[in-house]
Amino acid sequence: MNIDDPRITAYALNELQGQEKIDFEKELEQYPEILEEIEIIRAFTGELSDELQQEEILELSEEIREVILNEAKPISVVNFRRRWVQVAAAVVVVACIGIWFANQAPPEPKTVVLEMEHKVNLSTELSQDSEVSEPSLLKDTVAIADSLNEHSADMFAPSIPSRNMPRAKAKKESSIPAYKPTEADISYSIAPSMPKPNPPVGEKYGKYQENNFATVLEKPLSTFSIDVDTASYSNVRSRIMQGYLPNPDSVRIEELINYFHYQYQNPKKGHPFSTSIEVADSPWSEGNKLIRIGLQGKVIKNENRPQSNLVFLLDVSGSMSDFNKLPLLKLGLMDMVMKLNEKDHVGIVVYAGSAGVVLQPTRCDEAGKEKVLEALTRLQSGGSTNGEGGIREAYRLVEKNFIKGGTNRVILATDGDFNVGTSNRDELVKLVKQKAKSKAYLTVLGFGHGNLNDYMMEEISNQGNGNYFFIDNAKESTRVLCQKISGTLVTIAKDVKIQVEFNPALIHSYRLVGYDNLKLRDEDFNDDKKDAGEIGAGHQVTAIYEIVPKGSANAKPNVDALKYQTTAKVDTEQKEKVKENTKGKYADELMTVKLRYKSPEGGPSSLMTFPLKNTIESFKEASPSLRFATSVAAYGMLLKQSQFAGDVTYSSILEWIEQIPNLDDDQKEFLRLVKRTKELN
Amino acid sequence: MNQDWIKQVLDEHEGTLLRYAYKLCGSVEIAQDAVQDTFLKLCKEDQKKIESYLLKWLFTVCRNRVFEILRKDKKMTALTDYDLETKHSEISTPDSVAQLADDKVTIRTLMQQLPAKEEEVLRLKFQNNLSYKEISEITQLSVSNVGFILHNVIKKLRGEFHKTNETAGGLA
Repeated sequence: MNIDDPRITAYALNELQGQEKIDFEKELEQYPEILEEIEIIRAFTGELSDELQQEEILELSEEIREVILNEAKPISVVNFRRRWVQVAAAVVVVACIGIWFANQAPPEPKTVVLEMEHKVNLSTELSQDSEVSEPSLLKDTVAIADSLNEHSADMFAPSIPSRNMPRAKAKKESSIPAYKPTEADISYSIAPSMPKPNPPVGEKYGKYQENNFATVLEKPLSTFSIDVDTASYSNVRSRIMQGYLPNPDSVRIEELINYFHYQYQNPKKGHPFSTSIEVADSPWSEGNKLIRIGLQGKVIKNENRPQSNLVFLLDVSGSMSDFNKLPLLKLGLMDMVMKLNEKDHVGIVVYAGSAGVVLQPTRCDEAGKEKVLEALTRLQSGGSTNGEGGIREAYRLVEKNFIKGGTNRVILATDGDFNVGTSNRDELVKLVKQKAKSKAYLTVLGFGHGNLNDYMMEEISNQGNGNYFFIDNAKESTRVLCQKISGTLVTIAKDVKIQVEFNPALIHSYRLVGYDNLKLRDEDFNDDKKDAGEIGAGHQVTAIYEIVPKGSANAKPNVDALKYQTTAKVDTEQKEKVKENTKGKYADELMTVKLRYKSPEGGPSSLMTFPLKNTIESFKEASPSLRFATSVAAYGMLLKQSQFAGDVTYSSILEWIEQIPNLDDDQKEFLRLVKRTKELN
Repeated sequence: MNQDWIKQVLDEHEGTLLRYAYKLCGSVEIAQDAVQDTFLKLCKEDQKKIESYLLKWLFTVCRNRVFEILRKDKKMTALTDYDLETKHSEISTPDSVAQLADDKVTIRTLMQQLPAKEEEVLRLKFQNNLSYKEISEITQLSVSNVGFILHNVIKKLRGEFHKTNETAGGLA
């Protein structure tokens, strides 16, 4: 390849796609000097772009605007007075937007990256040259994170270039009849103006069939594996904020629900988690009920974390160069390293075209932290992706330094675009599954859009004793790697399975909402060889069943009566069984929830059993936790275009949430997200 | 027809479009006219149809309109769009040279020396974040031509930038 090849620039600007990109990356492996050239082009064009975007913007004259808007006016005769109110209202809105812009011009992503890289370099330079104490280094990192946050934290900011918006003339404003735009007006009038980007085409999601209703007489047991992942929620959020609806296959309802914090009781001493069960009317299909099962994992403070042996396995291939991938990842891990202490060891393996150890496992005392931070700062992206080589290398390091009774974990960060070595999904999953036998756990951090391979990452984390998070912005990275560090690192129970037995005397049929790819066979529940999900310190898991009570109008059979055989005998037998039950001592029990789990070190599983009495509350009287989880589930069903969504609308979800007192920040964000989704529809 | 939509598009893109038109013809008046005509035309379009390629549409229509007006005004009679090669000849006036020596040279000042075609492609790419494909459709250049222009012009600018800044630094 020679330096005059226009593909170099095209690649640096992310203009190469598909096969062309793959071919180019392959060629690139033989020309390391071109990688440097690509970085230089990116830096230069970044600067160029910043400069050009700062160039003065011109405005049309007021008259021209009026001519245009007149032309766009609906043809029907408009009541003069009403029009004036509208114009006046628009003026107020525009003025408000103007003020809003004056206060916070959203920085362009590129600016943020450059600034950030710059600061990162600065901070390590400082720490090397003048022995700056740790707090100031930390402060710098936080400051950078903040600057990224500004861009992403207010995800509701429209991406309109800032300029002098208010055209409103003071005179007009003062003559306005009493009309105050509500918050909703404003957000409505600015939000939909975002151009809709084309939905990404290179992403891969698994297709799973949604759980259907099962009749209790035919299938009295329901068995599934827990899952604490939240990746799907951050992914959905990021999509909606970019202005389009997510791919229905990318919506995993359980990951949406499990993103939020609920008020569950703390586990009793000696137990890894507690269970809270609640039953209420279903707000989306009349007559049906919802059963909410909530698990609360034991909370472990960062100070009390067992010692850990971590290996960061980082994808530094060309596709990771975007501002929301490698730079964000570096920051997140730096944040995390600051939370570690001398009990912990960190090693770093990177992989692009080939895999290599960048940092041998290093004790995270003060000097060690510096080394880790320095290694992270130096990381650069380029080349193709050999995931397989990286995975082997990372597990080799973890196994070499295995801490018995401690946390042994590979933290894999990637956009999942494996394209060298074994890139076959089944092969990679098999490799991870085999490596997981070494008792090392896995955390998968997904980054970026465009070629995110969600399917692969979800599978790898499920098979590899892992958890999976999607990092879409600095706030999310802080949440996963800093605030919830114990939950992310420390597993308190593994192979956690839930089995529910329903009482046919009271329940006709049931359906598990979400967990579509986590179903287990009933016999797997007692089989300790069958793998299931892990639960981390402080993690919560929430599952919702929708049930059709016996005798309800909805209690219709799924299929027509058989033509060639009769079910009469079976029916009578089963009726007998049920009859016994209605009179017996379990007559007033709706169901029994059984849980199995193992200690993180393995060994035989423990069993917990919770019978549930038939006490059902109305949806309005249900706990805020149940109502919120239900709202999230309903939102997920709408996004999934679920056939079970009943008469749910975005408006009804908004209503439910607005009636919940004291929403926390995440919940408030969700409320805004639903509003935004409603507008997009 | 949706007045709200037109207003949103206007609020959002009027500024960038006007800047682009102005850089294309160097006249505020012509630029204003071209942008006005673009939006009047937009009022007649179907929102649903056009929304997915709105930006490309706006730039294409606006660009064609600018050249149309220029032709009509006989400011540019038989010339093709790109025969106005180095329109920014004022770059070498004493003032601007002094300024060059004074300050750190910005990339933007260097860009003024570029041929019109190169400058336009650069602006579409880095000022308006359009893709190679969109630029190709707006300017009627082929995608590979756009790629070729950008690759070379970036290299040229980089060289100039380092050269001038080094000289400026040497003088100071």
